Amino acid sequence: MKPSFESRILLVGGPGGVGKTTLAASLGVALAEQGFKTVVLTVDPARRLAQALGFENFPNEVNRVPLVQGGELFASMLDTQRYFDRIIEKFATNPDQKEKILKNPMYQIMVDSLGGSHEYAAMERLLEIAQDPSWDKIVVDTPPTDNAMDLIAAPKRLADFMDNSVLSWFQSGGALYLRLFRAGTRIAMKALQAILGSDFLDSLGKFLTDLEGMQAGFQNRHREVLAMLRSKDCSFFLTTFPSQARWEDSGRLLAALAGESIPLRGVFLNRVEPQPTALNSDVSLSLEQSQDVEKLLAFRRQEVEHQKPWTEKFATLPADFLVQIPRQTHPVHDVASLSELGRILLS
Amino acid sequence: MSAPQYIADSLQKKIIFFTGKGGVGKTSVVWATAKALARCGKKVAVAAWSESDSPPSGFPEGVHYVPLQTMACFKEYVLHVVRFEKLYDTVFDNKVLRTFVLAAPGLSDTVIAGKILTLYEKRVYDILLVDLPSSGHALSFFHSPLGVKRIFSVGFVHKETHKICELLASQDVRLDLVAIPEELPVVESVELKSKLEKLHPFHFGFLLLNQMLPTFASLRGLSSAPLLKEYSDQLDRQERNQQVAEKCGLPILKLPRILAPNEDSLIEALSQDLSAVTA
Repeated sequence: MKPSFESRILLVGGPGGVGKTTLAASLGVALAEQGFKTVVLTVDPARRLAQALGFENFPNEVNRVPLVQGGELFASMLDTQRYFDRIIEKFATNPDQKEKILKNPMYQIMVDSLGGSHEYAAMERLLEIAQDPSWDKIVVDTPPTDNAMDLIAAPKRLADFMDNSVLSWFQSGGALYLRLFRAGTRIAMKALQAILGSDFLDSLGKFLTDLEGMQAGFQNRHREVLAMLRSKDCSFFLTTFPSQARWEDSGRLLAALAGESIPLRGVFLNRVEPQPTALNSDVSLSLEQSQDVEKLLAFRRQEVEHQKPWTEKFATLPADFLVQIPRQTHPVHDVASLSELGRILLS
Repeated sequence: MSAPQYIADSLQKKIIFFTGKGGVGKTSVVWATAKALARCGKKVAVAAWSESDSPPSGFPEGVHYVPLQTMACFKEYVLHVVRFEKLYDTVFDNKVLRTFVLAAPGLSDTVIAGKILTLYEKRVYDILLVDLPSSGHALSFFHSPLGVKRIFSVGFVHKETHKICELLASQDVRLDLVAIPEELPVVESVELKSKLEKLHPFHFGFLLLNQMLPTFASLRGLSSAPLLKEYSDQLDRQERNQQVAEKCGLPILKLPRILAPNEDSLIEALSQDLSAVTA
């Protein structure tokens, strides 16, 4: 096995729609078959893949996945909303605080619409699982992100939001507008009140006051997550496919990783078009069919040519290895085909 | 559904939102549509979530670019009320406030929606195409005015949010979905549409099914060689996925898989495809 796979935590990331979830599951199956006790953390698998992994009805739980070849594989699907409630329960300093926050409409909106809550929950979940030493391998299917930065930036934004400098505007009895008033910025106060409405500022202030004492929890966890991602225990694999758009997306993601000193271990280049094979002469075809076969062959060759420059570009990335995964001729929905795909990844 | 109908309907709109799963070529479809509409003599702009002021490489010529950046939109929002730029810079341009705006529940989406509303009210462009982030974020974008309405009962944001909800339901505004004929994207489109319907009384337009395989009809059903079997299977799957896509109840516009050497020529080819018969 390649040294890159020796890490305990394997992060499978990349732009949306490149097959991250399927490849993460395949990697999990292959590692389990090698004898590692493996868990796959995933966010939003397609329904049939979810069925294959057996967790359709049990979000946030760890479920055993039956394997044909033997091996211990478990999978867990993240439900952000419910998981966020759990985070609040964990960080709350008393039951009363927990109740207050969960019932606050501001909290609901925060979980629904605050950019980053998915990423935060995913990283928090990873940290929780990683603390259990009985797992040999943890494969993480990272959340789909529009902006590659989000995986790292969003939890940071959330932690920043809990930053003392922001919270202190609201907490310890002082309403924001009072503080601004005291600071002599009368017009700013009027403007903020006119824009946001004083009741919003009040309820936001109340919400943040409810969170009092929890910010340290959020920030420590963020630091722990970063430390974990940078450690030797953790490897990052880029999943992508050979096209200009994915090359540009991947570039942004890699720049973000480099900025956080998280090294790139490997590249999974998915859906690579195989060279078409011409027909044997013994296949009998009508004239029209023969003409169409020529057109189909031309189209297939064009597909291969179309990908080639991008395949070559991805090969220049400073990763330990690049695996080309041929476009699968059938959807990968069962453990047997996951296992087949996984062996390609490890090869 | 044909391309001319799509273009003709688009010419009647002021704002068209596009959403879909990541990796379906949504941005290319938006750019190609913009190019085709601009060719009809309209002043067209594409608005997109972006960190940079300048359009990305390959952005079509003759189309205006509107980057949607939270802090810039917040500033415009505040200037509606404050009206002095210098004052904004001294009072609002600080780290604490930036963190607050970026992370306060729903505020980021609200100021961006406010920007779109302003462009609409001032009639800056004939047609504004909004390239929404992929499905999950798009849902929270449309959800946030509802959430914000609940917590802002007075003030400028409250008034603006009310207007945003009206705008989203307006005849001038259309919402299109983009997918490719593969299982995951079409299933996600069907689910996305039913979720979006519950949020606002949108006027849905089209489901744009991008990257359709070329059809060589005489080869359908043949399996006498691996090349043929694979192609037939692929066509069958494409057809099944198209049937799933039809559950959206939207007219489907098929766009071909174009193997262009770069983004520029892809947009050109796709926009030609869209305006071929209209011209």
